[in-house]
Amino acid sequence: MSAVSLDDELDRWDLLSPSDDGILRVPHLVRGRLVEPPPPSALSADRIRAALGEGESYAFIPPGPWPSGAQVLREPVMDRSTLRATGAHRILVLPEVKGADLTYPDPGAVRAALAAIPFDAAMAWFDDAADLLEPEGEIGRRFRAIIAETSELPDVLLDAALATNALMIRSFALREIVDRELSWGDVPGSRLLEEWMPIDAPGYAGATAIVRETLEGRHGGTGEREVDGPAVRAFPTLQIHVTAGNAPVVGPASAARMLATRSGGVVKLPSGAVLPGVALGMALYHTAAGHPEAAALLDALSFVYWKGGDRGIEDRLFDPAVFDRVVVWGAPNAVERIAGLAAGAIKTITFMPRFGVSLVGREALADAASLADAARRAACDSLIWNQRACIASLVHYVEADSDDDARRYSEALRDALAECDEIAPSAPAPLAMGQIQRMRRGSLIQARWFTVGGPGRDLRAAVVLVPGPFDLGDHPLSRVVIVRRVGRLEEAVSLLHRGVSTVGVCPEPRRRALRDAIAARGVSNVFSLGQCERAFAGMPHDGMRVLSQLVDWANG
Amino acid sequence: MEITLGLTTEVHELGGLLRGMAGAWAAGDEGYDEAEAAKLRHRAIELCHTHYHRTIPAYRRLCEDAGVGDEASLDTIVELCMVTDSVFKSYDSAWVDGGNFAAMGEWLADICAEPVPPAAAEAANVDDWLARLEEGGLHVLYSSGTSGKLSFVPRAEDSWNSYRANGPSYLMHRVIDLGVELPSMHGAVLGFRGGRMGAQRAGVELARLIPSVQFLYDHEIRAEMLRTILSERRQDEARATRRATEAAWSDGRESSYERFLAGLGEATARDMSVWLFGSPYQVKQLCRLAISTQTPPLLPGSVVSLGGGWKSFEGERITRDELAELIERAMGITSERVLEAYSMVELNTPMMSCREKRFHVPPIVEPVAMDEGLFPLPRGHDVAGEFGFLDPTCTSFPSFLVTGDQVRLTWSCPCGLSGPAIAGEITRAPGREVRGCGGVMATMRA
Repeated sequence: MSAVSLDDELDRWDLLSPSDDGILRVPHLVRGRLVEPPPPSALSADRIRAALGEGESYAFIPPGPWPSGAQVLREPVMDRSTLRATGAHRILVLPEVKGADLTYPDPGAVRAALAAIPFDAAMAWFDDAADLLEPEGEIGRRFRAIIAETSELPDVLLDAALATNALMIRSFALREIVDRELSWGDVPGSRLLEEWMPIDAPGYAGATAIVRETLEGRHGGTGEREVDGPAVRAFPTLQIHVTAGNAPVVGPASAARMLATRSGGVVKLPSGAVLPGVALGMALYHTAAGHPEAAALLDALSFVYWKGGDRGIEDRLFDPAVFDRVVVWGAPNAVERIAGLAAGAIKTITFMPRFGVSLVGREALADAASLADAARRAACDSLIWNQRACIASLVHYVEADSDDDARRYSEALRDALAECDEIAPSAPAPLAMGQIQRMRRGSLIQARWFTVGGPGRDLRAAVVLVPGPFDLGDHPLSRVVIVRRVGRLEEAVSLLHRGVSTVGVCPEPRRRALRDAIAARGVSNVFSLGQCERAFAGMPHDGMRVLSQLVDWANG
Repeated sequence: MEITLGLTTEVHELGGLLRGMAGAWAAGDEGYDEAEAAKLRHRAIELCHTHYHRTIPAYRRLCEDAGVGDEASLDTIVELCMVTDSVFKSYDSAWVDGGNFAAMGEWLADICAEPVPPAAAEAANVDDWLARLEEGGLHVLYSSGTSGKLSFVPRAEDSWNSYRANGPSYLMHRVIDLGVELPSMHGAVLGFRGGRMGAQRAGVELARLIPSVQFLYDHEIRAEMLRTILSERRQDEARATRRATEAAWSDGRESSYERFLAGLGEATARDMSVWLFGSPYQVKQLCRLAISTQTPPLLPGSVVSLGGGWKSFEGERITRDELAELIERAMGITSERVLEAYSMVELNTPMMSCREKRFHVPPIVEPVAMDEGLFPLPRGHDVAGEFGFLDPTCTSFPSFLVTGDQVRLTWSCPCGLSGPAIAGEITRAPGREVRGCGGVMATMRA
């Protein structure tokens, strides 16, 4: 299907076309088929609106007259110039999801078919899909407009996210990741995905070898046979990815890992960020016809949304006889729920909520220029996905001899955040604003507040210099930085734990000196201040080499 | 501390005038002038702001960071200077755990306008600390809230007196309307005999007016006991204590209610009508027991007053109508004689429900409703939002408070009382859930 016909086709089906009444019909990819929600002729705008109670953001509309039901999600519309909610809402209409539709009657046959797909064929397909997803691609353009309507991200970060979503499935990126994460000695991972690779390694015949040899000796055998040496292969698996909506790259990034291993499965898209995953599913769907060798992979893929906790779907879906892996991103309650569903029978990989911190050594406070430089770099680490990412810095520990020094740092950081707001403007969502005001007027009334945009309705970011410990459960994740003064950076190191994913440190010699102590506390990334979003192909994530856990390593 | 004696005197004089106007308002006096009451109230609020700004360091910082000086209009105060109930638990729990009452004293001095008695720094535990503060002239009540961390709310003499006088200043008209004589009634309080827990105060105050009073628990509640039960940080100790205490309470609860019910029966036998006070959950439990034991109804002149809301018994909540029906079935008390109060330990002025089941805000208090961003919704209109109040009869702490309760504020009521009222059920304001990775680590500190 050409890119030109895609727009026409979507318009004709009235899919992904914002209507005047703020209703957007969104399809799912279900085991390789594009599944539409009920058409407007079967499900009127009035019925959709009536289904959503006052203040509710989700509703299920049962079937009739259309044979299947629909899910509706209400999302607040943002003013792109101020990044504040306009008060209006948009409603996404999505197809009903049935657990049985997402599983496979013969999972072994599906895995075999996936393993037979040539790696290069899959990569060529993904490149075509990436062309559609690119910001200038047909799908990229269409989705940019509709995602922006409700996104809290400033344009510069939103565009970066959408470009990243296309980049992540480029063959050069996926190949690099696979080759590094699944490599065995000098053998690149892509070969291990495609064929059995002989292993030149010292072997051990096992304790029963003496029995076998004795038996063969008794019966005239020599004990010598023509047998191959050991070999290993990385086999694709069937996976369920339960993704989180804190950044629009999370769903596609999790899906990219599934695609990289040519694995099949289900990506559960998160509320608040359904559309980036739908875009990826549509790009794959609309380019698959040109890559028949990879057809088995499309047939094994589902990109869908359902309301978390829907037992009607989840009890049927989480079947250990079908799925081999579950990947869960998000809140502890979601992780606990999903782990319960997997019930120990499906290997579960969890990305728990974590956060980043910054350690600013006293060297940075030596003069005005170095202070401003450190504050700018630290501000950037706090802005990662608008402070919603697990690696974004929430707390800055400043090594300072006096409250005045900590105050100078706080003021410099406030200025840096103000500059960031000029480049990438943002404002707290209403609930986050409420939380900020609760902190300012209550739990953190003992702190000093340095605000960007003033402390009231126009507040856009804040630096909070606190006199003591801070409960992270209160953090609004909206460009609010907690600053704590410490006498020595080592004091801050003693406060770190596995809940901290990333620590940005300056100056560099202090980072090198503290790196072992920080990592020993369970922190996964110890980077230079201002570089905490740094990534590379094959990079461990939350202490794991994830692709290696998503394949079945087979000996043959 | 800056001396603002003249200010506080004026504030409390205005408070006295407002109490008088509240009495006239409740009595339906033709002389009651709503505009004049508003003028007095607003003047008192602005004076309170000046006083808080000059004497309460935390309030002054809040104002300074917002660019607000010591003189501000009502609109500015409501927009930028209202605090939340978290102020009263903004201390570090580790200070209490470690017995660092000197640090607790510094914290208290930061959030209040009163001198903190130095002897309190040497306290051995929370109850001792509260007792030493009281000996030094600072009455500190506490409440448990739902977070497991105690709130401490301080009042010096003037504010304490207002706290005790504001309710009776206008509620006596309700009592008169009910045709009861308190001294001849039997009081029955579903609570502790004493202690400094805010929720228990209404029962204690009731006992001042009625000579014959029975309590569900005939001893004081201790803050240290409550804190240990609620503490999440002293895990092992808390678990053990909680198990033991809950077992004791659980074993004793049933028999306590049975004894309590027997006491009601004795009062009835002595031909005394009863003033029953308790939280909705407790009254519900008592009614169920009365029905199951076929206890005779109370005498017709009896009254049931409810206060404290459902709190941690939210799962047991029934509607007000259902509760009224249950009370009538179990106690024989009709809904006209069931009073419900809305109050909190931080509020000097309780609000009583009318026959339309609306909580009327007396003219002492300026009510506001806040949006989800914690900014004021238009005043004078029917709005739904988070309830806040400005009570200018308190000079000890910033009594401009957002409560965390979600309400609907209305400005007219068929019952005939003028002014604002809270209509419908009161629930907790929408949660603090903020989408994202880090916002769920409620137990982590940094």
